[in-house]
This record gives sequence, C-alpha cells and structure tokens, in this order.
Amino acid sequence: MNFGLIISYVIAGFLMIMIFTINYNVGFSNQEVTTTLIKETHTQAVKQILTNDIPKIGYQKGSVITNTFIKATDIELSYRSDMDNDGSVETITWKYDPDTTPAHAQNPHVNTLIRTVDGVDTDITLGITDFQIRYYNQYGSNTPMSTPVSSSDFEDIVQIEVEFEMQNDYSLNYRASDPDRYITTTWQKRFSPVNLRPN
Amino acid sequence: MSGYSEVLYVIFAMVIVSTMALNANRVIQVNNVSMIEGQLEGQVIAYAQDIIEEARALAFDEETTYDASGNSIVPVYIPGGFSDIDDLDSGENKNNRTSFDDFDDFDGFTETVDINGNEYDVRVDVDYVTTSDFENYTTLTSGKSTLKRITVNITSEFLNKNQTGNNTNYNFSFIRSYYAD
Repeated sequence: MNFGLIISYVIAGFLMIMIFTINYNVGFSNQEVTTTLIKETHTQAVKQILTNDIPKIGYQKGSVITNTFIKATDIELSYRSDMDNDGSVETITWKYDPDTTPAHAQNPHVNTLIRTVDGVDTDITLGITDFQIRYYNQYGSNTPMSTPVSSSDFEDIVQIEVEFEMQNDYSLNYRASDPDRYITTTWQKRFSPVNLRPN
Repeated sequence: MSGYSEVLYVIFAMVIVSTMALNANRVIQVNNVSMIEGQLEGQVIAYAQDIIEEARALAFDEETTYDASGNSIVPVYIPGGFSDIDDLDSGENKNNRTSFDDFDDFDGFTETVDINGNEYDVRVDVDYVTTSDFENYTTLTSGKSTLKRITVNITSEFLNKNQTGNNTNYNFSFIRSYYAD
C-alpha cells in the first residue's frame, strides 16, 4: 500500500466524521426549531385566552358591576365579568398551581394553570412553568401593588400585568451527558381594562 | 502518480464537503435567528399594545381631563380649544408615564425597557391627523382636529432585518377620535 493511498483513507475518515457531525447538527437544529414552533403555538393559545378574558374585567351589558374583584394574588386572579355579552355575570378565576405537575408531564418544572368559569375548571397543561400576576394602582407605574391585594384596595387596581413562561415537555440535549435543557418561551403583557378606569 | 491521484480526489471531495458544512451552518444560523426573532417580535407587539391601551385610558386632551367629580371637561371650541400636542401640565414629565393625564402627553416619550433580559428602545409620537374618507389619514403640521394618532416605535439590537445594518423599527399606530372615545 503506497503513502498516497494511506493519506487518502485518513482524509476520507475525516470527511466521514464531518458529514456525520453536520448531519447531527442540522437534525438537532431542526428539532429545536420544531419544538420552538410547537411551544410558540401553545403560548399563542394561552395568550389568546388571556387577551379575551382580562380586558373584559368588570364589564356587564347594560349595567355596572360593583364588586369586580373577588381575589387578587400573585398567582390567582378572580373577578366578575359578562364574558359572553348576554347580560349575566360570570365569575372567572385564573389560578396557577406551582405544586401540581400534570400526570403526563416529563418535564419536572411544568405545573398547572387552571381557568375556572362559574365553577367549571379547565386545566391548562401545555407546559406552564411560571405564571405571575401583578397589579398597579397607577397607569405606567413600575411599582406593583403588594399582593395579595386586600379587598379594600380592589378599587385602586387600574392595570393588571401577566407574565408566564412555558417549557417543552422533553429534554433537548446536544449530548447525552449534558444536563436537561428545555426550550423556554416567555410572554409579558400589561392590560388596562376599560372598566377599571378611574373616570 | 498512481498514489497521488487519490489524494487529489480526496482533496476535491473535501472541498465539496466543506461547502456542505458551510451551507449547513448557515441554515442553522438562520434557524436560530428566526426562532429568536419570532419570540422577540411577539413581545414587541405586546408592549406596543400596552402603551396604546394605557394612552387610551387617559383623557383625549389636556383640555378634556377630568375634574374633581370625575366629569370630563369640555372646551368651548372644538377642536380649536384643544391643547397643542406637546403641551405639558406642571408636574408632568416626559420621562415619567405616571405623570401623564392625557393621550398626547405620550408624544416624545422615550424609554429603554428590559423584558425578560432583552432591552427594547421605545419612542412614542402623537399627532393631530385629518381624513376625508376614514381610510387615508394626513398628519396636520398646523392646526387641530378631533383625531389624534399615536405611533409606538420599538427597536432592539437583537432585531435587525435591514440590509443597512440599522435595527428594524417596529411601529404600531392607533387613531383616537374625540367623539368616538
């Protein structure tokens, strides 16, 4: 076997390693993108429900709700609203339960978000890992009210900020020995519901 | 030359594989940029909505703010009695949103806000606008009208889609009418 042939085999070996590495990297990147897109879709679903519910706080067709809020803590918001514009007031509760991991969840950080309308619970188990609610008594303020907001201060609430974080259910590790890594998406929005305006 | 011809073939193969590797890296980079941009853009939209909703919650004009009983004051002449866009009351500060009491106080408001570790530069403009068909609006350079337009401009160093290298400017507008408030 001559020298040129040996060198050729060595280089060919490097080429094979390069091809395998490229293939793995592209596959891993695609997995990350797909997982992110799935997570974005889940985030979008929760966003849509929140942006449907919260701006309607305190609304009632043809009337005025006097006691809008029932409970306002950093993980639970309970209020009254005429959600479907039929004149009857529903009680809506958003509650984050940081101690309950859904049965199917493989990611240990995932907890449960519960939306309740007139006592009917809907568990949102799409991978919520954090959910925080902040209340403001002044438009544009950077200092939230202390929670839980006492019932005597409910009338002072003019803005409600919701921030949540979601993670995917399975670990995405580049190497098997890497620590568990999850795709994380976050979203934050401050609502200024019309019916909480002071004037 | 019999042994060295294989070396030439392998070098040629290496060039092809290297080109593949560069392309694959480019694809990965584009994927990563798209992933991050998608998330940041969602946050940009949410923050712009926050500002617009907050501005809508305030009075239409400095001259239509609320009295001590919570009733909106009505100027004698409309729209001539409205304030100029950049008029600020005593105690109002362009850098402090909590001091604003009407829609156009947001004009010229700038801030750098940190949301989940990403910084966004925000600039807000408010103008009087006029229209004849409620489709096309013209900014009034002088005079007043019963329509005001707020434009929220948001940029971030992580959102750069321009060929010029400048950060992308995301702008969101909302037109508010004095009569249909």
